[in-house]
Amino acid sequence: MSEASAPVRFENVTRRFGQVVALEDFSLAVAPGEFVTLLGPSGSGKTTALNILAGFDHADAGAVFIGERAVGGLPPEKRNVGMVFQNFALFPHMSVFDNVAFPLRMRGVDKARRARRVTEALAMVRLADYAERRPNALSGGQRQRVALARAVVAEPPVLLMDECLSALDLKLREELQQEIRRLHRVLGTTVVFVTHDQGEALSLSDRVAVMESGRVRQVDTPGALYDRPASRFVADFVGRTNIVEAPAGAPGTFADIDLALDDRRVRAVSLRPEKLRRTPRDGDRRFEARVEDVTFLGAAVESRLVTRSGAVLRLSETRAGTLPPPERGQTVEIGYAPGDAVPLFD
Amino acid sequence: MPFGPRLPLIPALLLALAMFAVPAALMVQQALFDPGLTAVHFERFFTRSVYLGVLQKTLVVSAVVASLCLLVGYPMALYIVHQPPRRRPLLLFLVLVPMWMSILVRTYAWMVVLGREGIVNGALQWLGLTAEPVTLLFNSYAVHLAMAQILLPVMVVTCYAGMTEIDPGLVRAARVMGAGPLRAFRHVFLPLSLEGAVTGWSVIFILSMGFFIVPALIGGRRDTLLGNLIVGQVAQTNWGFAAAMAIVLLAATVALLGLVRLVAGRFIHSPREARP
Amino acid sequence: MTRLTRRSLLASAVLVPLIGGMAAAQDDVELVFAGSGGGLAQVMDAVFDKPFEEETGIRIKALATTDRASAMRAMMEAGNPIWDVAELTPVDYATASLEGWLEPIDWATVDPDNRLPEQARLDDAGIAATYSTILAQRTDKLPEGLTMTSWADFWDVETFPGPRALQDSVLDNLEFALIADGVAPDAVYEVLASDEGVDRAFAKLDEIKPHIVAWWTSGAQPVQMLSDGEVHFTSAWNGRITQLQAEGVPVEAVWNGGGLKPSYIGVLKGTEHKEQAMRYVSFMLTDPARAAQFAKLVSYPGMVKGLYDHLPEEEGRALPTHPDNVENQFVTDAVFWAKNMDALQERWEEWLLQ
Repeated sequence: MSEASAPVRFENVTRRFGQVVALEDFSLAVAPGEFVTLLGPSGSGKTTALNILAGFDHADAGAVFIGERAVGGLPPEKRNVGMVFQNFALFPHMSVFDNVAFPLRMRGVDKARRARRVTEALAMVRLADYAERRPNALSGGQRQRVALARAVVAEPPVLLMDECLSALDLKLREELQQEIRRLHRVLGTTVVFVTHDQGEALSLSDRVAVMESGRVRQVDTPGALYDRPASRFVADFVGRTNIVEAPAGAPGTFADIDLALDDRRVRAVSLRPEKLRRTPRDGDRRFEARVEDVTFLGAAVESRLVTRSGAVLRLSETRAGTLPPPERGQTVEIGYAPGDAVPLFD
Repeated sequence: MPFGPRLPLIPALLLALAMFAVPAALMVQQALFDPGLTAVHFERFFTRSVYLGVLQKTLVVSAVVASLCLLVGYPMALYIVHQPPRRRPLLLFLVLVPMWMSILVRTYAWMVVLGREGIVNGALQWLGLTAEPVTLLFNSYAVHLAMAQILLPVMVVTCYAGMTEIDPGLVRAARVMGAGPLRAFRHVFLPLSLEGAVTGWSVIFILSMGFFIVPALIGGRRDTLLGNLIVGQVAQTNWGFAAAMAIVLLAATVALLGLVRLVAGRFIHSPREARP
Repeated sequence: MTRLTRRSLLASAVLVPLIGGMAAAQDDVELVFAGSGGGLAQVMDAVFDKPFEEETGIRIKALATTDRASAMRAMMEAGNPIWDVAELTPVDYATASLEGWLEPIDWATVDPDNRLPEQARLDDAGIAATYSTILAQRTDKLPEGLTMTSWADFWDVETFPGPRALQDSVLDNLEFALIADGVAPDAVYEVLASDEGVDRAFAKLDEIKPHIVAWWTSGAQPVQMLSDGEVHFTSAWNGRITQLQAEGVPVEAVWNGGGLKPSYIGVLKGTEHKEQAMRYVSFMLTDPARAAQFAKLVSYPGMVKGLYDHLPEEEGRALPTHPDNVENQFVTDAVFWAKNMDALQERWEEWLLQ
């Protein structure tokens, strides 16, 4: 049909609903074959962006491109994208086969080719034996796999996924994450994925765009996002972290954790709990803290630490470590590499 | 404890028993015993062409009225369901307002509209389309028109209820998969709204089968329905025959609806299936 | 202080209303009268019911009813008449009389002064009022200088063009057809007694059928259709036409060939208030002044002697039993119809649908 993948570009897109600004000056470029996730809490504008891309909604200002074509004036059916919905959106009056065949039918693919490709798509999501069933005879996970097959069967160069795993329980969600990763690897399609689950975003994506209140706060690879959050919001939203505030009169100085930065604009630092250690190494910054609480988490143990001035920090240690877990009330010496303290300017 | 939760149903059950089961049994008794067991009333019905003709006419009129209502009511429901949620109650209210008036009043209103000195004739003459008044009343067209207008709200509400069950996401899904608005409607919305439409058709068919005021007031001499014959026989105290006709009416209604379900059942799908 | 025991309290609670009830029994009787409601009931209330209560202390509860024969059959089958007195159409009366649903009337006590003529005093009912199904015409829709004077004119669509209506009922229409065909009004039932006579009536009806736009089923319809100009000529009940004239609609009744129908008053068999019911029947039927007052208001005169002495000549002329009008009408034969209604109505339905 067409090329296997296409670039997607948002250019300064703004969308308002009455007084509410759903998207403001939103720009994002997705490379062909790239898997990009829009991550944000509800109301951050991620679904609005996806709806504008799919053609269910329009931009008040700005432009959207699929391939090299501006698609603002095109209805959804002319955009040649695949989509997976949160509630699956399977047609209840059609069999699994007819559901998956639907995009091919609408594109005028002849019957024989249709049958072959539906069979292939169903095999790809390991549901070859379910073709004749009705959607209501399937489990939630199976339904979403049918929806996946339906979204990719016509080999659209762009695949949109709208919170498509959030209706499933944890185990199924992890299973389907693998499924999606595999499909992306096999098909090489450009994927725009929307979720509010940061774990999902980090594990699936090539890049993640973190959104808040209609704006993109940071676009980066999962690793960079995690290690070098650009703002307090991103640091807090992506993964778990400790935010240590600088005193009001002395920006850049963090006496509690033995840190002083030259940059006077630094208002706080982010320190990931797993970057703290009870066995300081050479070159580590060191400080003392009292253990307030210890929580067993399976693979890890998390401790709540209180510094001299009363700031609370979390310490996360894998149980593979040599030290026994800390005890409540104990005072411990904590160290960390200075590079792990990420400066925050807001 | 299977009986416990059904306890509150007892009043409804008693009511159904007293108001439906007992009268129905009495009706069967009236039709079959006079005073001994006899088939004379049914024999009379099925051997005289006049009664079979009226039965056929009643079935045809009911089916046509139900179809007219479907033709007009379905698009109305479609329009309302696509309005912003805040405007829908007002539109539904407007659809339902005529039902506050009695059938008799609405039938008389049609006489005012269609009469020789009525609104339509006035307009036709004013426009110079006709010199002499045209007789628009007392024929089958008037009966169909008035019955369809009287029963239309039932169709709109039933279709509307069915349509609100349909997940709007399904139509979006169809669109993004390459279906234009018309094809998305035909392949997704229409099949899923059929259940409500067939229910509406059936309800109107049932109601039409019992109509007698409208044909009596604005029908012609050939527009006698079974209901009119039953009323006439009751007035003449021929209860046995009236009961027999009522049973035939009931049986014909049930039979035709069964047929409709059988045929339409293959195309009907509940939009409530396959919810996550 | 009196000591009240539970027993004495109970006793007084039971006895007091009983004693009181006994004392008031005569005054507290309420007769249920099954009439046809509407304007007629209001007139009856003013002319008969209120004065009757003042005179006797017996209250009349008037019900608006239809299908009285059906209702009476149901009551008789249940063995419990909830009506005491009923107004009856000719066919209602014939049915009720043949079935034995009415109490015999002792005319010596009900009409001791012989004020009612013999034909108004039946064994089990009295004639309370009369009405007539007559030919009504819109005088403004008639051809210049012409007026309908008979059913033959109604059938004459050449001379009198215009939309027409008849009642959807075999009763009356067979008679009208025969009169239009030249049968004398007082001979119609002789002709109808034979199958050939019935065939002759239907054959005559065939002629007019294409010209009838509406077949009415309730008394209000011909009035409404005449006043709307929907039809120009129709059969109708005389009282309704008088009302229409009073409203200023240019309509006129043709008494010639009209079907005079008595309205009967009967007492239901098994009533608990037979004596009071008979007093009410007497009160309604035997006072010429009151009957004149009633006829003046509703155009359905009774048959009590001396009625027209109490009416101005002009008002009397508008009534079906006025000597000038009564002559060329036929009296509907209730017994003929009670016997033949089923078969003829069936043939009528068939004929209508052809």
